[in-house]
Amino acid sequence: MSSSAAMSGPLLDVRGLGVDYRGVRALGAVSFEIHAGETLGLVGESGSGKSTLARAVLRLIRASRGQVLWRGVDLLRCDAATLRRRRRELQIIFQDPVASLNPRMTVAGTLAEPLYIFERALTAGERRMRMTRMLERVGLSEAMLERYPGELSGGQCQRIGIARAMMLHPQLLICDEPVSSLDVSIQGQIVNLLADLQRELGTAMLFISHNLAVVRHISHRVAVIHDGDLIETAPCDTLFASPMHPYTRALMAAVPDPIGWRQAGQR
Amino acid sequence: MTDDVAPLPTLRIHALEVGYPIAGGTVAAVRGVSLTVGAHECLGVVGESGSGKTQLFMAVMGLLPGGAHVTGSALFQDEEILWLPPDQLNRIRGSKLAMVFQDPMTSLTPHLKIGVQLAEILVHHRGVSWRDAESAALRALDRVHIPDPQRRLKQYPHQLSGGMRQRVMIAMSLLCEPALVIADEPTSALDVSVQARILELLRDLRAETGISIVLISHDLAVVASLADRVVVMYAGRVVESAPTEDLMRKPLHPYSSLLIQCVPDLRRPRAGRMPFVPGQTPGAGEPDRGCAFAPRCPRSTERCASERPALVNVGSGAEVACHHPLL
Repeated sequence: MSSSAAMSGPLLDVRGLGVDYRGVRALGAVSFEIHAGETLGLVGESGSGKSTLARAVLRLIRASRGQVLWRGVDLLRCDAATLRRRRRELQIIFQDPVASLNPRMTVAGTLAEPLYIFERALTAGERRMRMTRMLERVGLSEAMLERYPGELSGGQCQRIGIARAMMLHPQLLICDEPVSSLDVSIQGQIVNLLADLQRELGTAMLFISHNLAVVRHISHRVAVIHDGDLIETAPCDTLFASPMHPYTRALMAAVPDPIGWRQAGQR
Repeated sequence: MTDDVAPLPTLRIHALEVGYPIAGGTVAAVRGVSLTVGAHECLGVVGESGSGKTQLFMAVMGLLPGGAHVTGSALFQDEEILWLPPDQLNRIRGSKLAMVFQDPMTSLTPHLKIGVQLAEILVHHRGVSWRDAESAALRALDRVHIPDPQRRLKQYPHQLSGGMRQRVMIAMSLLCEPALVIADEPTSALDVSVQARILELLRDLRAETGISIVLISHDLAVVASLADRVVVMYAGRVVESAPTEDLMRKPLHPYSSLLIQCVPDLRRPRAGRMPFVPGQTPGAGEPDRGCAFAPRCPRSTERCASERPALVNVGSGAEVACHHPLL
């Protein structure tokens, strides 16, 4: 898998992607690449177009211009059957972990759904085994299978969301603000889990967040989006060590530094 | 903050408990909290979801649903407010005691203009004329640095951004010159740059007016950047309380220490793993035995599982509830 990806260039090659909502420009003309096994962080504030970008890439909303080349095929122009086949290779997890699960479905029902659609040949036993293995991978026990989302904490729901997205072993996982509705104290659990999955399974990620600390932690490269345009893209450490764009610098300066305690106490 | 002839504290909560009766028992949300908010003080309250931080102050404001069972005491400017009849409570609420909620999207009435929503508070609480109330509303928007306030007064909530709406909520809470504003996660729904401006605004307003503030958040970085003193809550109880700087530099409770490690720092080189507090908070209705944090605590011993640590005063204005504090 990785060798064929290396031969054919980037997994995802987005060229001049733009979205207008009733004539209002939400996304200008954005271009970037994601390579196999790579995590691209996308940082921006509310209204900057980051969720619009995620949805346009997956064709969940209609793009107004540009191309989304997924392993060479333009997802924006391919026919429905191709799109459907390709979509199993691209998965997304959303910000609100509770709202993105069906409250009337058990965890088992939620996890089985992608298998019912894409892997119909599986027996019930095989399905159960795949689900149990994935649950363990995201740090939950088999006992979870019979539970409903309402019985779970926010962090557990997000683990289920991740497990559901990973059931089909996608090559690209889009994470749209995956931890911002969780307590600061457990955000690290989810970020570390995603980093582990990424390393073990080689899944490429588009990791979208307004939280610089989280993006910095998980990304190989970071792109900053402002008013519908990418204004700066750089390797993660370079961007945080020497941000070039004034907007990037302003974003970094806004992270609270309680009582200047770090300079004084931690060094 | 100083001990010499301290003025009357703004709020004194004593042994407050909140429970919800369910079939065959009670689910406890707040399990006996005592704390004081001094005059002109900003008290930070930090805790994870389910720690009882919001329930505690909703009880103080008399905003809990009818099924809630509240005991204990809350003295606001030396007056017991927990058992006040609604008409008397409403004299205090919104005028001397105000609250700012997390979600600026749903806290404003969608079909009323901003100006009307602000002015009606003064008309109701102060009995001023609509004309005077509207000019006061204009000044209030100006005070929270809303540009072009004249135009904003005539707009509806949906025409304002999230940060702008939270400014309106703050302006609204300050209209009647309250003695205490309780701000529950006032910046959690906002972007970092907007958050920084809202925190700065609260800091300035406090310096100008001398109001007391209770700032509630799950984000210690937010709380610590404004509060004089921080109270750490876990599973319905206070586990540590200390002056902000002491808490940040030398936390006593292992839980506080873990929370501090979770505060992101862009200046530090990035570590291999992102810090977090392992495990999860106890669910409602779990047996209340020993220290509630013990299952997640790196320092816990057998004693922690069986014997609940009391909140003890350890000097320099700090209190901690732990058998094995980081001394």
